Amino acid sequence: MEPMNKKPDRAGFYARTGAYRWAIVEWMMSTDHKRIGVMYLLALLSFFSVGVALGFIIRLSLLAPGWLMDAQTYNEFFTIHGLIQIFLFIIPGIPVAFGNIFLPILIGARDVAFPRINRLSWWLYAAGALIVLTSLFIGGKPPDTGWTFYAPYSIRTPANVSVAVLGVFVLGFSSILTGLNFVTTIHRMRAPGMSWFRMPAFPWTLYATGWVQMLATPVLAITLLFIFLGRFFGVGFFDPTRGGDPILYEHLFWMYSHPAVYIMVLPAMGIISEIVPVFSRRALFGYTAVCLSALGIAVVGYAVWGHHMFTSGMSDTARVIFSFITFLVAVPSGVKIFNWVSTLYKGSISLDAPLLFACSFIFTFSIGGLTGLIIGSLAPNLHLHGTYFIVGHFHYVMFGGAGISILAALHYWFPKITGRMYCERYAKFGWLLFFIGFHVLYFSMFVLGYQGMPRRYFDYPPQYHLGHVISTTGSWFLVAGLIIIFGNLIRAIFRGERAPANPWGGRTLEWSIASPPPHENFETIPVITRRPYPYDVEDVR
Amino acid sequence: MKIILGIIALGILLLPSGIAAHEELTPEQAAAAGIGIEEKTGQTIPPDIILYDEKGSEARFRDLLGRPVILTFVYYTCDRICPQMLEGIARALPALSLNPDRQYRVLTVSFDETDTPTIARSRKNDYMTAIGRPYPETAWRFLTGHREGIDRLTEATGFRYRRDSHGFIHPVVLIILSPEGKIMRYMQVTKYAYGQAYPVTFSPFDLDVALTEAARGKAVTGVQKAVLYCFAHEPEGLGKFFGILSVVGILTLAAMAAFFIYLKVTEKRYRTDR
Repeated sequence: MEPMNKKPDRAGFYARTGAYRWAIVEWMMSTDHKRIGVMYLLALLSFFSVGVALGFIIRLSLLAPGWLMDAQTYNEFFTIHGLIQIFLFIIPGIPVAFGNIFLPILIGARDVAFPRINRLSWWLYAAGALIVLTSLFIGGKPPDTGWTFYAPYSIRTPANVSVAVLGVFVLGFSSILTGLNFVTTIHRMRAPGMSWFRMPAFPWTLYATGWVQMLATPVLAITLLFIFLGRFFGVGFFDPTRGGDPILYEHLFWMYSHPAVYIMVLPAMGIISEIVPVFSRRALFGYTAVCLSALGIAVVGYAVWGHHMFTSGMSDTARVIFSFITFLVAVPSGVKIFNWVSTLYKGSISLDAPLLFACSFIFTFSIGGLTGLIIGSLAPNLHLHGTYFIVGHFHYVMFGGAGISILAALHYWFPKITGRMYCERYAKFGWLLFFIGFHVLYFSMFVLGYQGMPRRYFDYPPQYHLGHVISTTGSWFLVAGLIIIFGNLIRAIFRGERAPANPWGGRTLEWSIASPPPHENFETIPVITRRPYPYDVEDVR
Repeated sequence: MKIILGIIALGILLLPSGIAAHEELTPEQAAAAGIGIEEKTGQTIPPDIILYDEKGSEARFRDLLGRPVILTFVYYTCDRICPQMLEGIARALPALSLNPDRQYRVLTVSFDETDTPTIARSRKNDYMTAIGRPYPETAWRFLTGHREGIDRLTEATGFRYRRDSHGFIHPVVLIILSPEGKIMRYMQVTKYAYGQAYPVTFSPFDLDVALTEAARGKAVTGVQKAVLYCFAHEPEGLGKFFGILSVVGILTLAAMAAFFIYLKVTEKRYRTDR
């Protein structure tokens, strides 16, 4: 222990408490929201890198079908790519990592409402992730159903679906507990004077997300349980040969999985709402509307799941209603987009890496959202549903939305989390490669899909070859960009300059305390007297 | 936590209903339920059956004949196989070598007496468009009828069907008639191409042969057993499942609402205590 303490950078909450002999036990047993958040963040980014590697190999294989993997291997690859990126990375993503680290600080609290439940969530997450990964290595084949576990194939396939499903089930509980914890924290732990409309936008989105997590995730749990019962006890809720209905499975699955899209994207929008005011030195335009639209998205987002199933057997009435509500959910999303752009308007903009990422979020997410309207309308959906268009749309929203916002948050809060500054030049260079690669990779999927390239196929007719080659080339740029981005950040952890408490001129509470923050965050709990982005009152321009 | 455990417990409670749900339509079951084709090759359809054409005027069956006929039974509100079968016919007709209206005619008859000439006319428009080239109006008729006329026609052709909670259960078949109204052969649909844009297809060559032979008065007997049925699949246990689902859903929502109210009520106390 002695030599470890001599390391000069064990500042703030990284400092050993001495409660346990081994650092790893001390961290695993810690109830400090920042430590839990950092552990989540490291786990998430590790899974992300695995997921990216798998996606990279899938793209490589599509360069010339069959040269790298056969059909079954391809199925397994895209299933595991999906499982890892969706369930281990992007759904828990922002709330558990950045939410844990920053929610209590942003509302002026010393920790979350239930620190030990928070630790339990982390353990459940770790356990669930381990179980999912186990399904790849134990006897039998890795899951090959796609991340959606569509019945009845998921009930019949000999692959290790049961283990993966169990893992996702456990992850679901982690998600529910996190939601419960955050909602209670926001209700009870806000600093004196911090009324609802003095709360920064990120906690607002976490609040909406928390309710979605609590309400939607049980549906997933029960659905997966039925898959389990189907595989082991022959209960045929989803199996037509036993009198069940596979479409019922799709309904239940998307009843969770569509709100899950908002579990990922709402906090992403919260992050953007934090970054844009700081780097344009303006109060968040339409602050109230931005906060309330988060609730609006959460509520309306519950009633759109049917748009995943327009082609799988539904009455026309239901189709029209689902399509209409899908259009409706674009309204609060549009409110946010316009407000961010209006915040930038006439701002004193410093185009640092976090803002670059935030702006690319706005751009990419707009494309993702607008293509969502194309496939949300009934007639185009019939043509596009089974094609790469969906794959493109999906990655624009998930990766281009939630994923990029995680990169934005990493750069924005990196000085606060680590107490170090990264190299701005490398961050921007990495961003450029990433941004170019992203659009080459995924935009070509829209074109391919429009031309009719079916999704989930490991092979394709020659007329799609050019599109696939372009797309794969994009993936090289994207990965190169990611390597530079993360290389830069990892280097900064060890070699970076020390970060001041407030490198960006932020006005929210996290910038008022040391970098990295001390245990318990605040010596005295601050008293809040105004709205979170007071650039208009201060006249800093 | 309690809520989720409650949901799981309720879910397990409804297992027996799930196991009990069992419904499939095998040819044997269909036959037992009196659905299918009773072969009546060689018999003549009563010429005085009265149906209604697309304009709503009476049409005597005799007047619709005079050349070989492809007779099909559907109901116009069907959203399952009927439209796919008609689509298949619409795609096969332009490829026939025979001359429409002069050398053959298609009669589509609804066995649902609630179908009106108006809806028949709208269907006719759809499939005339689907043919994709000019086609004589009189060569493909979309007919409706009263219960009595329908019953006599289906009885004469041996077409057995049944009303179900969601439409009808019925076999999918083309019946070829001679110009005099004699049943020449049954062409049953046996293949359904899952996942294709046009899952039901007819070979123009087979239709040509069947119609030419019908014109010459050559009957072909034999009805296949493995045929396609058009029916709605609604598992019995599903109703109960949805019942429980709605109860659980409402309970969950109520629990969430209660939690929200609790947080809201106690908010002040917790925040001033700090």
